Amino acid sequence: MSKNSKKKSTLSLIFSRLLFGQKERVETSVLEEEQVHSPMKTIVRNFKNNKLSMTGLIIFVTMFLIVFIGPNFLKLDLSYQEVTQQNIAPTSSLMKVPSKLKGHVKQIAIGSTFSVGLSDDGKVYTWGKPKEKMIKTMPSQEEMGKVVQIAAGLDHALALNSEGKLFSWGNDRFHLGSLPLDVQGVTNIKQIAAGYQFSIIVTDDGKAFGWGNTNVIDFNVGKYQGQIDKVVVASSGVIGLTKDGKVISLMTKENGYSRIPQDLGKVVDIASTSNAIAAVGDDGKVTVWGNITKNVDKVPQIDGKVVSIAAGRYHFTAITDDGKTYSWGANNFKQSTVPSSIQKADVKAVFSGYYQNYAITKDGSVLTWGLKGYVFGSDGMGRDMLTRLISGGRLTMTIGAIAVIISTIIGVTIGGISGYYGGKIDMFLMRLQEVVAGIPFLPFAMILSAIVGNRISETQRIALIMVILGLLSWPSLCRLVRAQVFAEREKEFVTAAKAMGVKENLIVFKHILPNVISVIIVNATLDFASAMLTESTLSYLGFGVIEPNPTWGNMLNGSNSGVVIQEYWWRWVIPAVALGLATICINIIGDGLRDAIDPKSQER
Amino acid sequence: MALLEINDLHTFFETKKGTVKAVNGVSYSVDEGKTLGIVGESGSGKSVSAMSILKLLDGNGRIDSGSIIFNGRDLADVKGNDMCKIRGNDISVIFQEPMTSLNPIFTIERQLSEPFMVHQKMSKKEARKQAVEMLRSVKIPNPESVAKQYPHQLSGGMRQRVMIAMALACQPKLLIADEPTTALDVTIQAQILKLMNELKKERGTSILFITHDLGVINEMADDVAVMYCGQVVEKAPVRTIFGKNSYSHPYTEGLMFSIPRLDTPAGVRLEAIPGAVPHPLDLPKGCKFAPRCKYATDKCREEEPELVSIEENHVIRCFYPEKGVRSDGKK
Repeated sequence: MSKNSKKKSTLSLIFSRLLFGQKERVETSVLEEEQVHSPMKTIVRNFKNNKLSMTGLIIFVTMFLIVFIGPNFLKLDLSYQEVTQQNIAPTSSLMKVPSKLKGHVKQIAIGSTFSVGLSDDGKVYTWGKPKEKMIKTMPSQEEMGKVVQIAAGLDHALALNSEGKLFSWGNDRFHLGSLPLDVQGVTNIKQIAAGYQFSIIVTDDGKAFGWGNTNVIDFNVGKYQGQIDKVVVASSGVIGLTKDGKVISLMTKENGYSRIPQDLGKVVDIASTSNAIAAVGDDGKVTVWGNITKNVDKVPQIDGKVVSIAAGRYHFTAITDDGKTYSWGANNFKQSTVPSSIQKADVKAVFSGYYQNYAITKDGSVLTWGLKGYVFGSDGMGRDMLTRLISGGRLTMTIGAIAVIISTIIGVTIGGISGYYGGKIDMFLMRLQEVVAGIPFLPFAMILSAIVGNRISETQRIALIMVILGLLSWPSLCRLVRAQVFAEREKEFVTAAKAMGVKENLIVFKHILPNVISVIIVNATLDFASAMLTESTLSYLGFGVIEPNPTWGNMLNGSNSGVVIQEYWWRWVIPAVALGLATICINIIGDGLRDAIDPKSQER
Repeated sequence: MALLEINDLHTFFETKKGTVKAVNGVSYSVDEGKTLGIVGESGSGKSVSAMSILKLLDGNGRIDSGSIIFNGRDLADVKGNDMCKIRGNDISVIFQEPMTSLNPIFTIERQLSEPFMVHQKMSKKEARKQAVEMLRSVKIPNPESVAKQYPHQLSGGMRQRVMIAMALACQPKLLIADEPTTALDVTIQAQILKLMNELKKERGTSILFITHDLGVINEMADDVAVMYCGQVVEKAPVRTIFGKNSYSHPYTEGLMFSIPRLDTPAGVRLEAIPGAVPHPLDLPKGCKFAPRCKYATDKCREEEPELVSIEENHVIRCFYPEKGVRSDGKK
């Protein structure tokens, strides 16, 4: 303190104390004088001393940075939606293999939001986020006995025990839960498979039986009954592999899957994503066909001979004879980026499904990659809430900020002119301000949105909301600025500036407004919060930004349904918390600024 | 030659209750390099007459008639931006309140460089350099660091020096000092007056010095105009009034008597002018001072006196200039 302190007159010290009283000040001796700061520095220091506002500022800045930098990392795909991933609660344990299962995994079957594991001693484990019904209807271990094979579909699972008995649990629509008559007697089941609400069994003697949602899954064994060795279920059809290594279509209709390439040779393994099939020949070559999307046909350079292949919803994972693992296809959840630790490991078997991969190494450990879960859950369209929250926050804050900039510019200009010139100009501008203030905001915005909303593009619509918000919210600031300018213009320094030859219209902006700037900043800060809230209100009601563009307001939209409120808390709690936190922080910052600027407010 | 000549100036303020004739037929002139002191009570129109020169009147004020010849140009007809070129450049003002005449949120440097930038179109850097020079010329110690400070960090005397520096920045021909020392304590007052006198000599600036302090007038002015109720009641060289004590108007006499003197015996009450200044909307008929004048006659109460010359450069507004007497300064 003493090092920097310059000699200041006692008068100025008293004056500065009077003007800028501080809560905490370093005790100095009578002889030592305190450094007198410029008004701006004093405001900053006062603000820093206010712990609440500083907390608010830190939280808000953090949110702001996340929201504005985040979308560069978590890219939002506006057209993205995924039926199989709807309404998943916040989790990061979709691939968290139970510790009891580790070391002796026999098989892992992957459903949409859950995985079922089978241990060497025939025990079944479930992890991830299975639907409540699935947990309820799952048969007990005693009931099932020693399980030898499992399969998982969208929301149901199958288990086969050593006595050849089949169990099905989870979704029981389309008679999935109860085994059809022609399957009940069968004991020589070799393979069980489950798909999108569909179950298939393959017997030792090459017969296949399927049941479930036949509207979606096209299944017709036809002439191949008796030759089938393995079946795979894609999103709308079934493909089989015969005992002599031939790939066959088990569908009635011709489609992308059924156009099986002719030069496959002898096929040892097949796998299907939701819309593409891959076959591995006995020479270890992988061939992909079907409805090719998301780069599933971009098979990487594989060193060695592929012996086995597995498929998720939009990706394939293959292992070679020397234990190397390769993944390709969609990579939105890093499901086709094989971690380097797994690339080095000696993989014995790989299980893939949906967005998860489990690799079992020769020493029995389980390695995973792919979708761990959704930190903030997923919404009704199966979209990641976190991504939408961040992108939505950016849009919400941008709209709020631009609306505030517009309203501040208008408010300050009109308020300044009105306050400085007074008289008829003031009279006219104040009446104008009253008219604007009298317009009921929500009905006006709704009507405008309804009239022009459908004729314009989404970007124009967002711009329109910013402009409406800005154009309708300036009156309060305008009145405030006018009153302040009224007070300031009577002060002597204004006359002094005039006497110095400064032009009148410059005096308002160069000499008076800087004196009022603190009020403007505080008001703009508080307006920012209310602009965000108003935008959210509009978007929630469906008159603001509409889906698929996310904002915190329209993310809350789902909460107008009772089911969402009851069952899917994360869909409304999380955006509500984000919005609430942001607005509270802004308000705290605004209050803190006001206190920092106006020393009288601390004398409460 | 007169630098500024005000002839029969009428400045009126329109209020809801009627027209306030704040300045009602005032004439005076300021010679080049000279100082004219204007004295009078509060509300006598001394400030308004000076502000009329620069047209720094409040919204409801206007110059009704009369002429303000400055350097051969009638300022009463000059409008808008042309006036801005004269303000601060040819004529500048020092105000009464140094506490509030500086903008509290700008540094001294920034405020002081403004006249240079406005009138001499200097660049910011140049203007700031000039500002520091100006601070030095008004004898502010350590001008470089003061320039970086804010008004609240300076004392009243320092601030008034800054105001003077700002007023003199563009070497004006006329400086209007509107009670520049009223808000300062006596020692600072003396310093400021000394400074102004020095600067006047150095630069040859004419000063229109407005005050209600006769002592200050004695020290500063070459000529004195005494104002009462919007009119000049007596005008004379300073030596006539203070040196020879040959003032003639009863109001001037009253003012002189109300100054405490060292030679007044103890126990003698200081003589005050009885009554108060009449309300500007309710001025008395006849001589405006008649109700408070101890020499007033019926004629005074009925008719308004004209300015009459009683000797060279000495005019008074009274029917009985010779009755005055009072040249001994005592009753």
